[in-house]
Amino acid sequence: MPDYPNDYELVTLAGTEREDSHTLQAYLDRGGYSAAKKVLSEGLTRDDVISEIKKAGLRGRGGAGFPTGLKWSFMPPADGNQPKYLACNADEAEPGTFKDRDIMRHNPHQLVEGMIIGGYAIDATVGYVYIRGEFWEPYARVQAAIEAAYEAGYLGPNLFGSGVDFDLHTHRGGGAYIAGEETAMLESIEGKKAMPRFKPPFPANYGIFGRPTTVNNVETLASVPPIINNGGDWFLGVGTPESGGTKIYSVSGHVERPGNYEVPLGTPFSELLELAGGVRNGNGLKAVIPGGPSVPMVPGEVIMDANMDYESLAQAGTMLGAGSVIIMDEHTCIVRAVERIAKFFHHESCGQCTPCREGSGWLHRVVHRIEHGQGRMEDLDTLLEVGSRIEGRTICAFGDAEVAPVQSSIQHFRDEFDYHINHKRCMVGAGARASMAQAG
Amino acid sequence: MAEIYINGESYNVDDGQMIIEVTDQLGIDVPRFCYHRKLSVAANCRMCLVEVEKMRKPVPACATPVSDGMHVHTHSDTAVDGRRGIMEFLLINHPLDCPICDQGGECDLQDLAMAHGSSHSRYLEDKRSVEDANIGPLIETEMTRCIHCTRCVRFGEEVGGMMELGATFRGEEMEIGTYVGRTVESELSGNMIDLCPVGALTSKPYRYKARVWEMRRHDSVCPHCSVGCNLEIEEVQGEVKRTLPVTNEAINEEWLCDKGRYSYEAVHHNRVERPHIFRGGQWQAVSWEAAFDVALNGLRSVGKDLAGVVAPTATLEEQWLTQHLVRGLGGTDVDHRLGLADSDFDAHIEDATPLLGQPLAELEDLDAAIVIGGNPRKDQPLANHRLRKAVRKGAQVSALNPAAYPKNFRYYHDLIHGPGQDAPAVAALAAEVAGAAGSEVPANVAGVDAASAGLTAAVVQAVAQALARGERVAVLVGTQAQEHPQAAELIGLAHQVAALAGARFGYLAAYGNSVGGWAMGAVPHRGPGGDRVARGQPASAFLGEGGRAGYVVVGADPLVEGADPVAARHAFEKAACRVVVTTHWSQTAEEADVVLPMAAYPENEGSLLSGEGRLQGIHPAAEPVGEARPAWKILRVLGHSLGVPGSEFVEVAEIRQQAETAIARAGLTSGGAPADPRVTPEPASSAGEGLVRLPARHIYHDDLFVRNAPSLQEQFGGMVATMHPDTAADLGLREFTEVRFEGVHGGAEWLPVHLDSAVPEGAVWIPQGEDSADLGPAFGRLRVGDVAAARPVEPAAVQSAKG
Repeated sequence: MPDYPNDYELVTLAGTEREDSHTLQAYLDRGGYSAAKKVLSEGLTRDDVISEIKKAGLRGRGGAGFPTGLKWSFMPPADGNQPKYLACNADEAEPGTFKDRDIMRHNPHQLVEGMIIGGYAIDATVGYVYIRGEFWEPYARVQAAIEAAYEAGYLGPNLFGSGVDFDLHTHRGGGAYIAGEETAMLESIEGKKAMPRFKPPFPANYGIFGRPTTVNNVETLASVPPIINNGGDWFLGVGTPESGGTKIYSVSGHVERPGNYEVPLGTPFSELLELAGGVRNGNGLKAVIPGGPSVPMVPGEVIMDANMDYESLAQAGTMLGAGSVIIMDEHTCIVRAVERIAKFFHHESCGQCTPCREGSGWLHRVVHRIEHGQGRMEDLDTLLEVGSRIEGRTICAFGDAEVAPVQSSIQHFRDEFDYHINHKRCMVGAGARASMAQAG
Repeated sequence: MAEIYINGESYNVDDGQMIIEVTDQLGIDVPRFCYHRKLSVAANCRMCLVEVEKMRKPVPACATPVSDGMHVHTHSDTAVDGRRGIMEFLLINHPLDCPICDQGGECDLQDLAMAHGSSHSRYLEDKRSVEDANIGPLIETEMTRCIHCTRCVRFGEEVGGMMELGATFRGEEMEIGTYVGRTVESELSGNMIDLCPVGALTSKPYRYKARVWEMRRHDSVCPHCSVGCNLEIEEVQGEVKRTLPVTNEAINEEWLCDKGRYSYEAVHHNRVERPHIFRGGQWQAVSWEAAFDVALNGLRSVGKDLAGVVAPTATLEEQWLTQHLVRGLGGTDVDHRLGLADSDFDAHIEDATPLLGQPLAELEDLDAAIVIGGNPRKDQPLANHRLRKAVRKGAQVSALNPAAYPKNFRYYHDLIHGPGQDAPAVAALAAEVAGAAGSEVPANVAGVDAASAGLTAAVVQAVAQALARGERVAVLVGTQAQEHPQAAELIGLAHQVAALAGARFGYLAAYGNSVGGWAMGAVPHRGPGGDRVARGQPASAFLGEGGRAGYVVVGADPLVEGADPVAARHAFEKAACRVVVTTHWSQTAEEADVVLPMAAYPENEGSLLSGEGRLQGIHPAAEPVGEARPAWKILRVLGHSLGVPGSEFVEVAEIRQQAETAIARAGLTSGGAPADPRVTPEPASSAGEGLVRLPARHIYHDDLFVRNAPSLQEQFGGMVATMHPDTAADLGLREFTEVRFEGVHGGAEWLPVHLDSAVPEGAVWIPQGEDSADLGPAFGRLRVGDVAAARPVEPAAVQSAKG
């Protein structure tokens, strides 16, 4: 069992101190499925559920932070027209993110219960948990939880005697990053290649097999049962006035204790860093990517003054994203780090639309050249200009994501790029190169 | 209606349209690669980015619906910069090999690069290159040039009905291609070449043959099937280089099937270039005078013991002249229906002019339809396309056939009757339709059992209900039913089905001028326009038991295309005078006394009457090869020299006048209904020994012209005998073996066997054609020779030969 700090109230990782926290019994022991029962057998209407979620200030935990209650309210009203779908995005492919994995491994029933409630709220009778292809254990745990829930009558027809049906299936992805984009995920569930759809139409109108569909992240859905049990006000009170509740931060990189930390939204970054044991070897903090490589990186001194919530990070010039906090210490070569990120996006572009397909390789090749001592002075302007021609012109947000690390790193660490170009080697020094090589 | 502003100008436009549809209507230029009005919106090229006020980012005009009060800027800085960016991205990995690219000069990428691109590249990295795939003899690939617009992929899925091309791999590595190196087999595949905005997919036969700016274009009409697709023939200094579709929304939209697209190759292949006479056991090329002497002497010697055959792909003028010549010389036997196997057809049905019975475009608005005895996907590809569109809109289109021919849309039900049960099957349907429509079951079909016709009663009922229920319903008689030995019965029964269902009755005519053949009196019992004439015998008789002393054959190859090629050969061999006017050397030409070279359709002038009754003109794009002459001139000389009155014209327009008045006399109008067949047949099954042969022709091995187009023959791949696996097992035959099939006249052919349960047990599908002519009657029965002598063949020999 991972070692989570005890000073904070856990919401989505609640109960995970128990060795068998993934079992139905463990979940029932701490009041599991009472929220679903409350919703379905105590006559809560769909609007009641949605307004409670709105009150809680729950925002999507997958990266975009869209208010969940509002998203649910976009679904067409219950009109007897089925199927409608609730799809849980468990693709968790953003590098540095490993939070949904732990929810699925250690608290799968809370996800299942959240989906039952969510399905009721949006009048969906079928749910899919779309699980990243590389995740075997989380898949096995969720699948086992679904089977146990079926056996116990928490899934299937006529739940809690309410006349409400809900069926839940797992669907394993093939391991493409882009499958985590919600419309690409819908394509993948349909059995097609995961390629994002042009929006509009949005999934609420045209989702899986053309039917109304809502897509929510694992952590979002797992937050739902506690909100129903404890009330939206309680949840809001945990976080900030704009964004309620807790958030799991997957802290990785140059820290002493990498891992998942579920803390209230609005927790100062410095506090989170401390929880993770601070920067390794007491080194200085150079830069942080607070939400995975698809958000801009920020210099250490900027983020040390920021809080970990949507608004504060926006002020700091970046985004909360999926909460994948990547810490880079003073020995990090930013050019090398960006080269690796650009390579990732080059590799993961789906290839559907022109700017991203052609641009991702261009960005990567230029950064690769700079890193390997082949840079030209005009390369940096080319990178910025190519980036500006990708940004905002693609079908999905991947285009913005591949540009963010390149642009933000040139903005904040242009001197390192200049040094690479002029001296054909790294500013950080040979020592850093060696330690990076050790770190892999 | 919505009021929108484009570049500051206000327009009132219909709601629900995309911006690009509006700008296209208004003639405002918005560049694009992936958008195509006939395909779904992919929005992947991003070339059509425009600026819309109050939207944060530039948006694709192809996927952004107009809304009231919207302000669109197509040439603002944002829009222009958006396009420049896209253009730069598209060119960084493009090989820029325009000087050696066939698309050069008609390339969207080249044109838009001139308009929106930069004169130099900032891209200094390695370029992508993609290995080419061989996807068959018709389409050349150069996939390094591909810009991944997916037009070809969407075409295959949405129009062609076959998902043959797709995108494999991802990102920059994404490649368009076939699945594991297959050949593209769709009969509409050439359209992907037209759709491809770059030089990734080009025409293989046309490769390196010409530059687009040196070619002259001549509008014409495809003569092969009865759709009458509009096309343009392109030539350089009289040499035909390629054929492209011409948009006509009422006919072919903007498509063309591969048969129509690639048959032009036959213009320069295996042509008869000089008049020839057969003398002293060998062919001699002679002058026109000498050839005419032989022909005229021969014709004079046979007098009125003469028969004339004219191709159903010949022009109205040629058909009119052929019957004019034969009848002018006192003969009565003239026919264009080479394949008609029903010898007493004319005694039962006076007028079977094979009109579609409705405008072609209305096929796509049907609620329900049934094709009886036909394979429209291969016989009339773009009529089939309309049916496919109807199905995509929810229509219930069924077929009743002796085999489940490969299709590119899902039939509501694909009714497959037992071998030889053609007539009882249609009768069973008629009885069910009567029941479904609440009418009395007509006496002639009462008590016909669906099950004994090899059909499932419940399925026939479902089809009958669909036909009775629909508002707009059509019963269409296909090519094979029109040529069947019981054609009169099948047509009569099909008409009964239509009458009972309250449906439109029509024919899917086989060839580009099959309707014209009837209208021009190229049938033995009717003159031009249905005039009364001395009744003669049909082709099945005069090219059979009732052979004549003299034959004039115009544009046709009855020794291959006849209902019984072996009988035709016997009759032909016995004749005293055989004048063959032909474009190509053929089995018939080789048996002639004199061969007169005629102009092929790209070299010819004349007119055609399409299946829906539309009169269209073909125009010469090139001079006839060698000494060939238009057939109308040849027939004029023959008629004039033999003293046939009315042969004194000098212009083709004068005969066209004759043709037009004949059409008017016959009362044929475009979209008009065919005549009531007025026959009440008794549905009888045909019994016999051996395997029932199904002769449905292969699309690329059909008329004489197509059979001489090399690339299409490569795509055809050779004659194959398709039979049910159980039939083969009973006979002891396996896939990839070749066995001897024996016809009733003792003729035989060695053919590779292909196993497919689409053909019912007890039948074998061997298309009519050059390598099956020796088997005799197209609709005959066959015996399989010594199975022990069967020999293995290369799998490739049976690969592409399916239908």
